[in-house]
Amino acid sequence: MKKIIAISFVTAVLLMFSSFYASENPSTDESNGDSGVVSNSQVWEYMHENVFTELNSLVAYDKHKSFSRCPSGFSQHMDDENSTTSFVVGQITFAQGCNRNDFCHYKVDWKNKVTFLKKNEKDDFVALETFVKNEEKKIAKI
Amino acid sequence: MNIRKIMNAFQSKLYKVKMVDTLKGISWLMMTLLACFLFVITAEYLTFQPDINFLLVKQDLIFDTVWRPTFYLHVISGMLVILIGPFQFIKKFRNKNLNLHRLLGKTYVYAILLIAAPTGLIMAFYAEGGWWSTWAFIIMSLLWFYTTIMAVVKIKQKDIKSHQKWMYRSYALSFAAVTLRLLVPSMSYWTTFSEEFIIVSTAWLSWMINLLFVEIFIHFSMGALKPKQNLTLK
Repeated sequence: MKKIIAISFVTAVLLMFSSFYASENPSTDESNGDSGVVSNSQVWEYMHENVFTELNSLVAYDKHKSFSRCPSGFSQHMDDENSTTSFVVGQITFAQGCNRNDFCHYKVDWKNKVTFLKKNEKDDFVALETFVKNEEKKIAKI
Repeated sequence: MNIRKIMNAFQSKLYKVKMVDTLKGISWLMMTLLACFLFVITAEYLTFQPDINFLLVKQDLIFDTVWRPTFYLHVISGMLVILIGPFQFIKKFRNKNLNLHRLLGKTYVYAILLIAAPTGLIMAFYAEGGWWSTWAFIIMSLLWFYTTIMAVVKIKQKDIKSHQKWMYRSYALSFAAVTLRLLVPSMSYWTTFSEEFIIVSTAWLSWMINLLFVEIFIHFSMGALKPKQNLTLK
């Protein structure tokens, strides 16, 4: 009996690690269509390290709602069709548990690693720092 | 000299047992609080509103004739299971109210074997994160069913110690619902993993961590430190 349990557990561990590999290296990894230089995971990493940390000051996390099956926080969805090797565009969303909403649009100068954001489609892109300052002012007014 | 040695050994053994008991008490309290917290949060689904919590990401399935009843059956049976579990592990409660222990135990077992595990298996096919998550939940559901039925078999054979071990394993799998909801926010706050990776990895880790923990617990609590007992059922 113990042998069966041990073998099952080892099999499950192996399956688990192969699933990690598969989800980190999806076969349909999104790229911009030009030469596949900028991948979705590269953009995700950049956003996580440089943009989401700045945007955190604009939101309040509800710990109660975070106790959920869905990851809370910021996420990004790259627009493959309109992205090029120089500029990557897409949308940033914010989730509290499974409640995910659009937060803003982004455009990244990929060569110089500069991020521009805008709240609505009709607005103009502004630098990340300016965006954060403007949004903080709006929050302060409320 | 010999007496002193014996006294020291006895004190050391007593200290170890006391420490284990204290750790067990703290773990039980934490586990119960988290189980109650999950119960309260899950109770929100009983309003049958189609746009709350997890249902927000299942809008394409919310009126599905298979998925919807399966989801609610899984939620209701799961709520019962998660709340009953901790009270079954209290020794004093168990010894004083054996009939109640049996009644709650039967409720726990029937809830898993007839509803929670089979519905979990069906829901696995609709899991977020694709086939890798589906596999994690399929294995988990099968193990949940197996550990629970083994606990029933062992108590029918009047083998209490084995029954307890299998029940610990069964509840470890029930408690995966809590671990999952602790792992997801922890990983999304403290790591840079993508959403998809978090969803898939937590589907596996939620029950594997619990099973590993419970095996360690069984080894130290019911194996090495406790004197061997021949438990029989009256």
